[in-house]
Amino acid sequence: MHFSKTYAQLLQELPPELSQNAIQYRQLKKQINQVVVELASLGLAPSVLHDLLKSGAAEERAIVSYELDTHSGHIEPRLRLLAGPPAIEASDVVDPEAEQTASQIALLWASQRQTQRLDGDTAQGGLVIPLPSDSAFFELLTTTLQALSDNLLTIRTQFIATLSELTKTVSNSARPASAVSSFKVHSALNADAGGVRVDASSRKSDLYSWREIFQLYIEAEIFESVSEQHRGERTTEDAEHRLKQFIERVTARALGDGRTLRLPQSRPALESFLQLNLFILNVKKFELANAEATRKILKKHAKRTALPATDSQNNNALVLLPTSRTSLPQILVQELGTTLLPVIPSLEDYACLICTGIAFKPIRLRCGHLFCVRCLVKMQKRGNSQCPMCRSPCVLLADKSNVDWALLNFMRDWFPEEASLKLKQNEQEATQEQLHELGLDPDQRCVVM
Amino acid sequence: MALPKRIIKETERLVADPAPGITAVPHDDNLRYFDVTIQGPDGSPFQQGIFKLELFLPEEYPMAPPKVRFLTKIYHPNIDKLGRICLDILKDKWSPALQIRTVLLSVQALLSAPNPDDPLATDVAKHYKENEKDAQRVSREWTQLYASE
Repeated sequence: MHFSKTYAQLLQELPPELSQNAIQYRQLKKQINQVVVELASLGLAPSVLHDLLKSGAAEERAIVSYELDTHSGHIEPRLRLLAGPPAIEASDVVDPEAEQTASQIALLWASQRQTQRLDGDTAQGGLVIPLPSDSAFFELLTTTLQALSDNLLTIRTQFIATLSELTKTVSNSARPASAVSSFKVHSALNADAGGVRVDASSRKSDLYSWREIFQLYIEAEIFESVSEQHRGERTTEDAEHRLKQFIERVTARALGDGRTLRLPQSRPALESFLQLNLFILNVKKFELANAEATRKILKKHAKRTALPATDSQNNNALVLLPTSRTSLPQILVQELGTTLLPVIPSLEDYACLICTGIAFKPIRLRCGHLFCVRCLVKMQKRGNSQCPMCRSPCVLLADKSNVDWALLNFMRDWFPEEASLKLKQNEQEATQEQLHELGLDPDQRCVVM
Repeated sequence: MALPKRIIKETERLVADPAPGITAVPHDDNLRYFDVTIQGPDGSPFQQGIFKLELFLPEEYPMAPPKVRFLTKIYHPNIDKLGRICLDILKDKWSPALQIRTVLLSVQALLSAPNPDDPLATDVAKHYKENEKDAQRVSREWTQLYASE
């Protein structure tokens, strides 16, 4: 299939706010035809031009070079003819065609010398032929690319606005326990500092559902891989597949319906979250197709006209073509990761590095590193004095005063279930250890003597 | 006794996202026992060798270090005939913040940087100190002989 068709088809699948700024591939193609006509009218059909440009400095009779002039801020292509002095004596030539060429070159040489005399410009010299159709081609390409990059800027602004709106909604519907439970003066909690009580029935927050959704989202690694061996941006196909898988998983776990997202604003928020991701995917497709279209049209230009626009000496001029240097999808993914996802604290950031469970109760050593009380008690019993992170000798110095109360409250607030479970596990483990130390095996059945 | 959460997590990641040049697979009947392979690092005499090791997580892990041993014969000043490894983090410099992954990366690094001043295989260390080129030649030979697939 022709690229122009593939491109047109892809554009139809994309939302109009993207596709309306697509590259005018067909129009550019027509413009190339015009350039060919123009060149032909100058007697420079592609085959002739090709030979002339190729001969370059090797042949001294006539040198033609193609230049992209950028002094005006626009790309203005032109041809420069540099003819050497007519070396061949007319009498030596038998071939009438060659004779004609020779006389033409002699004429060129003469006119060239005349212009040089007029300009006083010997360094540049030569006959300059401006190419208006070719200028029009580059003008069209430049303006399209400019409009495209402006459009992407607008898209980014809109994306960020939607994202911040969504962030607000999510943070409202996933408020921590303290914000949704009613305060009781005679609460048992007061007597039991550091304890956790979970009252699931009265939870008016979608905190846990959102956390699960975001967890699934991070694990899906939709747009970028963080694995050791294949780090980096994913292909569009891969990203599309992964996004689909993520949506399936969310549905499979009933995370999208009323059973798990109870607050009225939560479900539209999830919908909006999925839309944003779909949008990133579309931008990714769009950007890829545009880069391809630009590459293809320049290639076509070179092939049809024999004008070497992409030659190394002209590369400086093509820098003028507005291209997006950093990929927009990557920026959008980053925005999402830094704005929305951190709204809900993730367990990983509050885990004890030793047992990998939530670091509850959190003990902060003098060196500033944080571990759960249970692991530190174990270390102290073994007489290990060095901090596992920095080896500073402060483990044995830790006591009650090292409890990080602010963090403890924060964890109780944001991870009530995990904290309560960890507390229970800690107690069980401690009891077992005590029994072992007393020489009793808790797993053995009680024997009545 | 049930497997601690930490070991489960470490195993999952080792299998799903292995470090380059390192594999570690737990035994089905003993999830604390791992079959390990380490690729000899490029630029070392062990280049292109695949070395088999065993790794065992004792009951006290992560408070106590894992036990690691080479199964493939190797000519290295810090690894003896029985495959025992002289590496500080496997002994007194162990920290419970280290993991299976980091231990194996350290072992891999030890292959690139033999330390004959702290030897375990004294004869190999002597060879390395007196004639490093010739010792490396033997290391290469052994790699070809015992560690190629």
